[in-house]
Amino acid sequence: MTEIVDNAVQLVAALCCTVGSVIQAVRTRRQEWCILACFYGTFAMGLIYWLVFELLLSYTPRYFYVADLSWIASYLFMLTLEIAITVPEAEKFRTAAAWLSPVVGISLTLYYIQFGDVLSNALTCGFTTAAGWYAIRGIRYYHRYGKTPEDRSRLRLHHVILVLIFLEYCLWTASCFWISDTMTNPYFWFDYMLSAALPVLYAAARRALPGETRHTAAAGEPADDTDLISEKAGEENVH
Amino acid sequence: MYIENVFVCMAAPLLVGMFVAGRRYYFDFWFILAGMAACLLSAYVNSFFTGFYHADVISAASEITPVVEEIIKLFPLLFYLLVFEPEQKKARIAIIIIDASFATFENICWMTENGAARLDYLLLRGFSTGAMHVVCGTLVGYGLVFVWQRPWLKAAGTMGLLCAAITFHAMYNLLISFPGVIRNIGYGMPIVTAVLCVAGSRLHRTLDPADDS
Repeated sequence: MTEIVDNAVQLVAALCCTVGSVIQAVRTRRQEWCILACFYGTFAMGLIYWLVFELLLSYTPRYFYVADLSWIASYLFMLTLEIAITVPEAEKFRTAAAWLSPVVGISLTLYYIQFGDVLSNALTCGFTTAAGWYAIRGIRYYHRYGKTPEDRSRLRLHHVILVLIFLEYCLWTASCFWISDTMTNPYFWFDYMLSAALPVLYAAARRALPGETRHTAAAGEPADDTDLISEKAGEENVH
Repeated sequence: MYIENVFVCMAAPLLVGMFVAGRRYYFDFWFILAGMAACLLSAYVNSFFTGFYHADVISAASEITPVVEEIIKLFPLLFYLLVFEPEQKKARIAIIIIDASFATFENICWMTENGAARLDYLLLRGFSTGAMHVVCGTLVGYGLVFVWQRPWLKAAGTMGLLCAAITFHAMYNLLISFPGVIRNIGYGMPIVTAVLCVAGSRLHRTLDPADDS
């Protein structure tokens, strides 16, 4: 019962964010909102299937994890979002701190493989590791060169995505040590925190991706000069 | 059940019709044959995985079948899109024909196995299975046409669309595996979705006649 309530709460949060993101995508016609809507949508679809399966059969799927496919797609959209919100100057920026993500990600993947299948864990952790790498690089970049309010809101967006990835890792690790189906299980604490993080990501995106239509050069579209902080970060500053 | 024999029996008149109709209509007939062949191949692969995992009926229907069917159903469409690079309009017709023929062959096989005595049930099943395959196929097919025009969305979009179709298909199979109200909800789900999609598309065309997409 605790898991059903937990999943239902998360589903409501994910669905609300999906609707909000779709509205923002239609209103602003920004690709980032389109990607975020896809992230929330696929995440919610996985949850719907998982919840219906739990309600009808009272056990979790045993062979092909259909819900996992949707969640893998959502992590892929999260990675795409990180790539899309990266400004061209940040693409050249390198920081040693970003390598923390592969170190943690690969270690945990090797650990999770002992409990689950190789392909699913490799894909899931691969996408979150790559998204974490982009998030850390974005945070370091805006800490160093960000000065305007817009930079600060983008910094916050990278922070929220990193927190979301951290919570996912905590959740997966907690699921390896299943204590009970009650709230004493840390799994549910992390899952509720994840549910809370979903609307926080939406709020952060609303600040970082305002209404006017723009496209980032990272996505193969012409960049809007006013959007970027190229004036601040010259070639000599990036290494 | 010899579904390959059923396939041969179904394919023979279509092949004859194709040669009589002429070169101009080759593609239309090929799409029908491709949809039915995809269904035949899915049945083999489903049987293999069900046996391999020793899965029961509900688990096979809700976990194995949707993944296998949606992936195999995508092959003829991907081949057509990648090799022939058709116009959007032609691609959309191809998607619908492939999915409808897939559903048709599935229904024929189901009737061969379970009989065709109850018309009311067959009507409901026919429409809902047809609607489910067309909705899933249209979601993937139309989505692919959309996302492949946007390089930034190509990989994630393809994966996302396939996952969405698999999840929808799995939900349908799961719901119809249970008796009573749950089964009726399952049968109603794709029909309602198809009606909403068509209504939404017509409304969009009415509001924005310039945008034919």
